[in-house]
Amino acid sequence: MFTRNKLLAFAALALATPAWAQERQFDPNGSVKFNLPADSPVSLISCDVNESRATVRGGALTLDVHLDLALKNAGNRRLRGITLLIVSQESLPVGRASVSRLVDVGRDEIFPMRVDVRLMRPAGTPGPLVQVNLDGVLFEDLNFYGPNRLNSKRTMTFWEMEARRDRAYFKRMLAERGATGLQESVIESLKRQDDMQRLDVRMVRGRTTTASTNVPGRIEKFAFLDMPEAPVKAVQGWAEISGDEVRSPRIEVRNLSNKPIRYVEIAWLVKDASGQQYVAGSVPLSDSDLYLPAGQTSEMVQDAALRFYKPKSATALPIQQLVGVVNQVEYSDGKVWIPKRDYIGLSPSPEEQRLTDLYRIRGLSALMVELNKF
Amino acid sequence: MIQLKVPASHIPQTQLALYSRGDLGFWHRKVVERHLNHCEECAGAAVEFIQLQESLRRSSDRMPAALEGSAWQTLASEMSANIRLGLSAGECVSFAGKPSRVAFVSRPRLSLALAGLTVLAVLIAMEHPALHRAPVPVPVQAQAESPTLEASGDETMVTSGDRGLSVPAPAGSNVIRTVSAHGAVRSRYVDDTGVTIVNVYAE
Repeated sequence: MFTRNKLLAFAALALATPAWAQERQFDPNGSVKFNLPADSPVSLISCDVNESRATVRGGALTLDVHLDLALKNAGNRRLRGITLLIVSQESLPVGRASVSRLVDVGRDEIFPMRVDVRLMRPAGTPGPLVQVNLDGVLFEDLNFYGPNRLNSKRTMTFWEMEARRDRAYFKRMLAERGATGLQESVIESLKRQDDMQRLDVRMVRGRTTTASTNVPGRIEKFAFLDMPEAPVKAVQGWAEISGDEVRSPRIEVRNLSNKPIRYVEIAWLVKDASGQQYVAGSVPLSDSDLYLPAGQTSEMVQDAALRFYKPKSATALPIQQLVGVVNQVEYSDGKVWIPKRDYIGLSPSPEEQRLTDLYRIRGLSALMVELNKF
Repeated sequence: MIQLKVPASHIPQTQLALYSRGDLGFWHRKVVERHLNHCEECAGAAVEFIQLQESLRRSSDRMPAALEGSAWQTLASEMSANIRLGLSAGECVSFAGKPSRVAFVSRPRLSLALAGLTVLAVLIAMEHPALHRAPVPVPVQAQAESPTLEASGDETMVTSGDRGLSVPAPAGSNVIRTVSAHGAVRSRYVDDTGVTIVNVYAE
């Protein structure tokens, strides 16, 4: 009897072992569902899922989603940006991901887009693997198409306005100071990017990042960079700092313009004990129903706890000072405001990053050709 | 078949206070709701408690910094806990005589003693620094359900229990990452064909 049971156990183990780390390729026809409205200005030419894998380890299923997409501008207007929402039913209680691509694509032109997402969920739960939905497309004339569930219209409009500002700056350098002037301004930008201290971050909404530090800390006030031409003034702000954790940043802003405002974002920098400054992130005025009339004041509160780490460091950075800069403003009519380049002490815009990368990889001539396209 | 017990007398103020905060258990809540349906006096008191809660909630926005955020929540939790402690103490006393909790109203001395105990417990909690500062433990279940957003190295991920979502950046790319206190991390990188920007949102 004992021997028979032992044999059965071995047989069960032998059958179970392949399932322990069973890996499967995606079905090209069924694993990924691509949802584009019938009147979408973008059409799907191809979707390569060959690199995607579904792996079962123990009781967990891991989906490594790698999609190589070829999309076509099927409309009449030039495209400047596109955002896709990546949805997995099983990941929805946890989070969502979106992928945006900044492009300059004319009618009938095809452009590539890559999606890399990993989803982890309990094995055995039914349902489709991944769905890709169009959240929106931004045109050259700043019109927008799409459901805009992720506020892609606002986000891509800010990127496009920053792109126009930075292209205009480099073109002006070229026009006023020639190739040498352009080169110097690009090198200056690259140096600023290299000098920029970045931090890893761990964030939890609504509570502390660790239960053991749930003790009230000190209240630290924000220092704000003076920006006279900004339509919004950051009046005051503070956050609770407990050890190396920053909690619940709140900032009071006043609308100095003569138009109502529906979105404000304050860029956020932190300083450590040595005075070293780091770009920490942003505090958006997040209420979707925000309406801040001219001359009125409102408070931006984010119920979040954040810890910052130097890259590759396991120890959180002790925060000594908080600095805020008005970074983005959207009026109720949809028009946006961004700071001049003079005030950029923050991350470079996506377009500045692209242009300086182009210089670094292909040289000054390639950059000049690129600038002349616009 | 389970019969809901409807008290013949009025609902104690402590029960109404817990009811107004949504802190009563399912059956106790049903008992209170059934009573409120036919007792104007208690219904009026319940409305007053709810209005008081709303008023406190609004005024908490203007409280001193020392009582803001988690400090106020800690204090509120302790006060709730002390009301419950008072109720439990009352239960112990009431079982010796009459098992019904709502019968306190018909026994004024017992009600008075219970109210005194509750007030005393709240005052001790507020005056005693160690008790006042004691952290409220975060329930294990709540921790598991709050997604954690992390951005480190070339990966951004949001996890909660055995579920998660992560987005890697291409190896060797110059990733610029920004975190929004609203609950999202944005990573962007440049490749041969342009700029890709990936957002990960915690739900």
